[in-house]
Amino acid sequence: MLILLPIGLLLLGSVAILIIDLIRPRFGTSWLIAVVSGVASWLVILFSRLRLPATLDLLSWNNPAHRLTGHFSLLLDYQSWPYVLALMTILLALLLTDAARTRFDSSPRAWVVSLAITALGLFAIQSGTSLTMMIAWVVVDLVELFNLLLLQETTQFNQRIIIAYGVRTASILLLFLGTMLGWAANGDFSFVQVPPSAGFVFMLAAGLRLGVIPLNLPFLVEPVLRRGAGNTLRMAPVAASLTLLARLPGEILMPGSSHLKTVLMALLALAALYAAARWVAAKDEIAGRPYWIVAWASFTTVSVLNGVPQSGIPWGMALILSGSLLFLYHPRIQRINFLLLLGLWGMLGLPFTPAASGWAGLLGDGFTLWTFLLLVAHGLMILGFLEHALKPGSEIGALESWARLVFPLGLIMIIQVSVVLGLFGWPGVLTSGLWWMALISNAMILAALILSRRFGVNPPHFQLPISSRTKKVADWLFPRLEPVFRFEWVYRATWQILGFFSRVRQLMSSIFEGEGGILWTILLLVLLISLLTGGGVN
Amino acid sequence: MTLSTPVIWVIFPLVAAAICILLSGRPQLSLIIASAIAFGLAVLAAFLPHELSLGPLTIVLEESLRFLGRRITLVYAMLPLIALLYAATGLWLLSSNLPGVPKTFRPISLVVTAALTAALGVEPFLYAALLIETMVLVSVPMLSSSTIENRRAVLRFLSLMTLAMPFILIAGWLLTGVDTLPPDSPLIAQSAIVLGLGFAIWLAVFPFHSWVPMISQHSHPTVFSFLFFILPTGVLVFGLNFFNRYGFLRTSETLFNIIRLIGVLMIAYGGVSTAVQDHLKRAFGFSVLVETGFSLLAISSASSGGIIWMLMMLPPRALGYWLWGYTLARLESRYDMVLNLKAIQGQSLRFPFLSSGLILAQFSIAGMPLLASFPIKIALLSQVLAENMVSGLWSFFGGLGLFIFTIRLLLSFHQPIDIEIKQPWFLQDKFPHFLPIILTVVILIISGLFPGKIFPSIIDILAAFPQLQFLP
Repeated sequence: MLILLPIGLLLLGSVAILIIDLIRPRFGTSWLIAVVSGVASWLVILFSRLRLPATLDLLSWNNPAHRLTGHFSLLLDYQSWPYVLALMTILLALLLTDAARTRFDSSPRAWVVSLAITALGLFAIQSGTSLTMMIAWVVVDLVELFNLLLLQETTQFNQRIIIAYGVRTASILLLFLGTMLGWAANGDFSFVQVPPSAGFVFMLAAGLRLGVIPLNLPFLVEPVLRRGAGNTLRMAPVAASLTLLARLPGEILMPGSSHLKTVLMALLALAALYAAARWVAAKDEIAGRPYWIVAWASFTTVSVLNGVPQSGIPWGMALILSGSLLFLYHPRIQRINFLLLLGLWGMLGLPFTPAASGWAGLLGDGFTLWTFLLLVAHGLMILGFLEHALKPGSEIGALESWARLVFPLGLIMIIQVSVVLGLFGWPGVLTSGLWWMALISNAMILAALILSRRFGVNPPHFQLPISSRTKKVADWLFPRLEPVFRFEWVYRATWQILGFFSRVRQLMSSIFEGEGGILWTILLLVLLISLLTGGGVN
Repeated sequence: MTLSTPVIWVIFPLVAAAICILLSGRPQLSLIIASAIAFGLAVLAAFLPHELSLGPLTIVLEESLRFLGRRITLVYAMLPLIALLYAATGLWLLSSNLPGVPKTFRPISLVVTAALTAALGVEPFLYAALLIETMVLVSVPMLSSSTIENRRAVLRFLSLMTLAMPFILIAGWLLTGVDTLPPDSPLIAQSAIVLGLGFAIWLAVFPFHSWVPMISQHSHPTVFSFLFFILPTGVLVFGLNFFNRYGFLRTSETLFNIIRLIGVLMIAYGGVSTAVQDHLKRAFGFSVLVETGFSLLAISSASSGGIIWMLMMLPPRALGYWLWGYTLARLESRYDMVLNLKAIQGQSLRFPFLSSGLILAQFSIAGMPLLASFPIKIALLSQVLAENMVSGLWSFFGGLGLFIFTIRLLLSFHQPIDIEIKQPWFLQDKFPHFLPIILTVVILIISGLFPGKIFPSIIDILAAFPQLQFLP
């Protein structure tokens, strides 16, 4: 029951705030309820680390009379616990930092959404079976769909929302297909032992959902809800997909499918590199958030492909924790800018830091061109983080005294959790790791910093001068690459295919539903009879 | 006192239909009477004991009734199916006051259900073919409207359904004494072919499917959604009779392979046709083909419990079709327009509940997780995949057609027309209109999470087909 408690507490808090907001809106009381339910859930999750792994069976369809298969359960294990804690932490950080965003997007309704989405996210992360995960994904997607559509943004944005929803639905259908394959091979199974036949399709499902296989970025323009609830809305589904990746078996590719692995590695490395480059060049951290997610998610997926899914967890933590540190840092307060630099702790991959255990996932069987590209992408991600973190704030608001206290507290919490996870988040986290990989990456970062200074680009502002040739090339190239990576060509191709089938269908309709349709039917009937009876030969 | 089951579920609904005709001038009263009778008969079928004591009066129920030299036997084991059929009829009757539903719908729907019930128990059982033909003929007035296209569609429906009847009757004649024939007798194969063709025409298997999209495009959604549920259900259950009676059919691996092939073809053809449709009502028609394909696929896995899945698919299908028909009817009545993707652009801003109901109905039929059809479809597809990888994958990908169409529909719903780029929400949904949608969606979700809890006894009708319980 310990697994369900945080979900229940969050939902209770969400409902309570909604009721208060409907009856007699009180900002302070609502915030307090949100924080209390958040803190209580966070403590329960922290405590549950002592009782891993824990399983809770919810419902079973296994019924011989109905010949149905499948069961629903929640599973809190070493793979899901870090994500559960990370998601809870960013919720709490959101609530604390929201105290300083009362002039922006902070409101009781936004907390209702945040608490509910986090509760659903926890449910999805802790899914013990693919059936549970499918249901959780469906609910999370529907909640997100309705929530985004209610924002009433532009027509263009609504189209993007539906396309993103379509991609998410496709990922659910892949989960459906993977479950079918698993059941066909092994019967009912849980995430503790995912059959290899299902594992590959599950990876595709998670990859599609994360936007990495194939690279797709329907949400290049972020919705109005950008920081508070928007951050949870973006991170909760990502965390659920990352957990699925962490739970996959080591061997998901059939023996002898090395070509497929190469193709996938190439796709992932290029996706990571492109996303990292766009992250560095992004106008601000919110504009760069889709690229931030894609780059780190590519790292996690590569770890699965290399047969070390556990090594994807540190990259997932960097995505969620270090990313949220940046995304929730609004309004900017120059004096505490240094806090953001501590976010690098979770990303640099230096020995005995949380990401040190992640290098094994990127290296796999040996150092290849793709590993090098991934190292470059890693360096770019760090540079981009520095660029966005050290940018001077343009919105330094006059904060109330209590907000001045709790705002940095929210950010410190994220850093603390990152440190704690680096110590005992999951088995094997505290390691020197492949220190030479860290050395190469960090040397490249240093070199980039020095070179950029040489070329007149002074840190922390890595934006190239408008007159520079590189800037001109980038400005020409990126807008042209964007439609490619936005997946629009796939939509157009799908439309073309649908158009072709539509024309064939129209032709058949005109034959079978036209004036002579009944004659065609009778003709085919006679042909069928003659065929089935051997054409009258016997 | 002695009553017979056919009197209750065949004769009484016919009387009720006559009353509805008499009350055609008082639509509200006829609605209440027809719905109450249909639901009452459903409840009675679901909970009726063998012997009923009301104080000093003891009512004993017989299972047979002689009629014009024939016998109609409705055994107790069939009552769960009869309960479902009458409950579904009641559900559709509740929405028979929607604008545009023909006045004839109420009495005819009762007659159709009564005829179908009689077909399930008539002896000799080949007379069921005549009763199904009667059902088809009776349903013509409710399908007809004044347009030329509609008349063509109805004529096509009538022609093909009538074409099927002689095949079934000839097959029955050929099958007489087939059990005594040696296994290699050509008569066995010939009778199976003739029988198969009859069922293929009844079930609108390609190329005998043309009436389905034609009817769905040119008839009222309430009417065609009802017909598309009741007719294939009756034909499929009637088909079980043949498997139950003739050992050579149920032991023929070739036959089950052919049924699987036809099922997969229907799913793939229907799925592609649904995905590329622009017309909402035609998409419904093609989805019916997909659903029939899934039923055939389930029958083809009979040895692994497929018939149970075929039966379990019926309640979610009834709910899904009803919601789909209801939301289409509401949309159509709002605009009096052609229901295509262009015409409904931006309507979700005006009718969020109606559009959500339509989307969820389609998702439920398609087998979206959380919704009613999902548990059965995933079990069925997994089994087919285990038995034959190619068939399983084709069925899965064919089944995606409705998902694709639903996403296209969603895109259309949220694409405001040019002059209303920044259109505010302008709700025109009314509570009485969307309450049935909310209730149905809740039931669909409950069915999706707890499969077999809605009409759990539907699989008990297998007791009426003792041979099917022991398929190899």
